[in-house]
Amino acid sequence: MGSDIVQTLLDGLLVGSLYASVAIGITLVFGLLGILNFAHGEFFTIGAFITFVITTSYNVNFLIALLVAATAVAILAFVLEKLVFRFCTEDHLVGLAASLGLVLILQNAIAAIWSPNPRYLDPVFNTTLKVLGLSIPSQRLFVMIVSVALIGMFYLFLQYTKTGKAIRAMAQNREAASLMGIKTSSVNIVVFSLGGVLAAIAGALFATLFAITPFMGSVPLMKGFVLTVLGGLGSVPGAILAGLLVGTAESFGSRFLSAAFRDGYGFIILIVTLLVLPRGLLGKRGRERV
Amino acid sequence: MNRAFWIILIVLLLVGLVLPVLPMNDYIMYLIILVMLHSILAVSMNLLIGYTGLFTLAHAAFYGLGAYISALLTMKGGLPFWESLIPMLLIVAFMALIIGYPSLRFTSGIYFALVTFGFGELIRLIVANWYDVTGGSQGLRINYVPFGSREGYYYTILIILVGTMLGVRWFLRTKIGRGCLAIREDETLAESLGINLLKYKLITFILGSCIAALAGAFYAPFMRFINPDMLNVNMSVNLIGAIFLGGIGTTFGPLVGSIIFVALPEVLRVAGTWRLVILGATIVVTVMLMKKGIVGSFSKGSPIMIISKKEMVRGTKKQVAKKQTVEQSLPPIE
Repeated sequence: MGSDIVQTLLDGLLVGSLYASVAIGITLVFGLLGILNFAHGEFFTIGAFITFVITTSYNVNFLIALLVAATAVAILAFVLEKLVFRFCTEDHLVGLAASLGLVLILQNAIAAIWSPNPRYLDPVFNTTLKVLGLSIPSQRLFVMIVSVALIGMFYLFLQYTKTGKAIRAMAQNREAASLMGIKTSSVNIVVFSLGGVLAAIAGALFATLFAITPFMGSVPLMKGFVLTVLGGLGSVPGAILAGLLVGTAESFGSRFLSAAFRDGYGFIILIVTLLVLPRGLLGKRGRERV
Repeated sequence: MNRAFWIILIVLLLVGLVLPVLPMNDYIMYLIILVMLHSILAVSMNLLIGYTGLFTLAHAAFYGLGAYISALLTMKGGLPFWESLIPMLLIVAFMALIIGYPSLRFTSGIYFALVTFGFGELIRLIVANWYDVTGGSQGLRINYVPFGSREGYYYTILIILVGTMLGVRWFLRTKIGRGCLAIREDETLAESLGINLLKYKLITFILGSCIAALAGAFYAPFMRFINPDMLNVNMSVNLIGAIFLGGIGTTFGPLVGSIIFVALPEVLRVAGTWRLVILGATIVVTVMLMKKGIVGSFSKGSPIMIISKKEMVRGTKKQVAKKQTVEQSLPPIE
């Protein structure tokens, strides 16, 4: 029983850290540009597809493929920011509608190019670790370590580098940040590209465990929205905390209650949290004042 | 604005009445009905998003609920289809009340969107997992036929669509409707003017959700098959896309958006898998060029002008007259 609980917990943390990697990009783009970017899920899908194509057709090491995929998605995010999102910041709805159009374009272009059939990527590790009576597939452990390391690195980047501080300053107050000499347009690009990279890596990692389809991005996207709001809009630590919370709730719920209702547990947490803390777990407190 | 509304509506109604007489194949008829059902949904969602500023993502859930409840009442409850509509609307109104009260009481804006998203997905998951009653993700086959012919079906949907549009227009002129417009413009100001935010929002939310449920109830016998995908949040998101594309907060915007969203992919069928890519590109380009949506960019006034200029002038004149009489009754200032 005890080992069962630990295993479920590890599973939850694994899924939670993947969700959190997607949510970080969403929360930052929303915090900085005010755009609820539905196309973020496509970064996840494209990351998985490029990794798949490179590893299977060129027989390259998974990590190299991962880097190529991350770079490609960063470039894509950069181009999208330059071409579309840059012109959609004055109204929440314009950005949202444009991103919906982009979802249609990207999703169906992927389906047209690579066909909508599910694909499976061979795991990098095939062994199973046995520690203290637990049996953990190495692949799952690998995915968990990489995604946790990724989130940790990003957090440190936000806390200690100059660009990271600029991003946080802009999330707090855009005008003040720009008065302090922060070039807001370049920070936007950085945020878009880095968010894309995080999502692409999460997608590639996800692909080593689950099926790859052109529509695989929609579930992490929705979870990403849930986490973004659950954690408090624009708050990266909030998104991480919410990711781990929802991930564990889902894995415990589906292990001990009902597996079919898996997606529901996150929503219950979301609803209850928002009714008690209307601005999310780590969002600003109190009512808006005039 | 007012005259333009009636002219467009009457032209559309005439075209709508004549359409089934023209020789056309079943497929086009099917498409037109689909567009009209989508328009009813879009018009009702526009009431919430465009006129009241309530960013709901549970709209598709209510649409699906309407279809399921009406189908279950008819097939398992033994009611005739038409009689199933009233208990269905009562159940949906009650559910909208249960969901709307806490959501509207405690959250607003983007948080409200996500809470309704959560509720909507919960409803979808319950429908998808309650095998004994709903048939689960396999869906439900509909075996009743409320209409003798496709024309009868067509005209009923047309009446509901026109009725919804007129109803929304009428609603926005009532005290509550005007209150909703004020809420959308500035919640704090509206509240300070004595508008009961929660009550007005709740009434609009229930009304909009019931219209969506009605559209769902008619969708079920039309498609002869329903499944939990109807309740998917993607449907709500697509509706927002359609409303925005057509022009948010405009009378005919939801109609134009629905036509593009439903009909364009069918017209582009020759392009195969790429047709949705073309639709996506159309949306992105339109949105970037016309930020108020298609209808919003063409109409001269601001998209919020539901009350005609004449009426506003009349209102101002009344106020001016009132002010003058008040001034006259005051003693002159020395």
